[in-house]
Amino acid sequence: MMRTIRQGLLAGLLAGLLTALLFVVDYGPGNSLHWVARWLGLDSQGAGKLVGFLLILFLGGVFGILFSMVAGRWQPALGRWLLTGLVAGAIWWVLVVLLIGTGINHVGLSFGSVLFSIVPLLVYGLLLGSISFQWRWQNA
Amino acid sequence: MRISSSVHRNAALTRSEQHERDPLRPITLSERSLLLLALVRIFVGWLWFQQLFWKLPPDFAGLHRYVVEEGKYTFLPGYSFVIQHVLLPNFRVLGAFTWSAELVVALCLLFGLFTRFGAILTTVLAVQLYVGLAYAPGEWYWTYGMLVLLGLALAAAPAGRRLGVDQWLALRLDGAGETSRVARTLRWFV
Repeated sequence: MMRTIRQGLLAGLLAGLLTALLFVVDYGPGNSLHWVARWLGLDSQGAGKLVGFLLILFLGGVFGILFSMVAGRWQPALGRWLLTGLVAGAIWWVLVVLLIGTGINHVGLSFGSVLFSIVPLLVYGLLLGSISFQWRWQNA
Repeated sequence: MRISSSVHRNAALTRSEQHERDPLRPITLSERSLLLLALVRIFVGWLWFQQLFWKLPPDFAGLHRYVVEEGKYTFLPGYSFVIQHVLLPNFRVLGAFTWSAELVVALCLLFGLFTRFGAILTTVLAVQLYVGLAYAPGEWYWTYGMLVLLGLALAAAPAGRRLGVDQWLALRLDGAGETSRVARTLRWFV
């Protein structure tokens, strides 16, 4: 069980790193990371970008562990793992962006910002499911 | 008996040697190459995804300036007339079509979902940009040329087979392709 959780953490961190890198590539670079930090009310002029980057890594790891606790009990089946990863990304969006970000920290949620947050988080979920499956399949 | 098996072995060896020396033998991509290709696909998808936000519906305002520029600086004879008399008078329709097409491209490439279809659509959109904007003032003609080439490269390789839904779709469509023509056609886009 510990091994499964450790693999989930690593897969989550890796998927989180790739997702965070997507947010780095902009005119800033990394201006979008201020917005990520705002989800948890942690943005600041000086450290907002770093906080946003670390926040994606941290939450990536957390959701990776949760994913491994659910999917780790199943036989490796690609479709099921990818779908579960996508669901993990969607839950991240609902909990962190919608409930905490918008509900508690009053981050504005326009059509554009919904699209700009939900798509990369679903990509995170797909990466999480895919990486986890690949590792599990190779070790099976 | 011994002589016969030796002859067979030699024949097999010769076939194997011939295969190794065949300059046109199929190439198998390594796992690392497939993963690198998948990362390229995701970042190209992100490139298109980011471009959705300066021309958001319902007015697609950011797009208007570029369509006007295309009308002025296109190098394709007759295209300026089409832009000024067909596309600009129906700008909302053009905006909706362009925005939707770019969204489809972004989703196909980011999720590795019918990646080849997304890459072909990328190429079509990029060719249009090249024709319209490559020689506009302040533009570097290779910007759009590179977009075309990126689209073609992703259409040529199975970039969605790792870190993408195509990895799952390919298996399903392979099975269904034996009996269904639709599945065989869809398989081509994976």
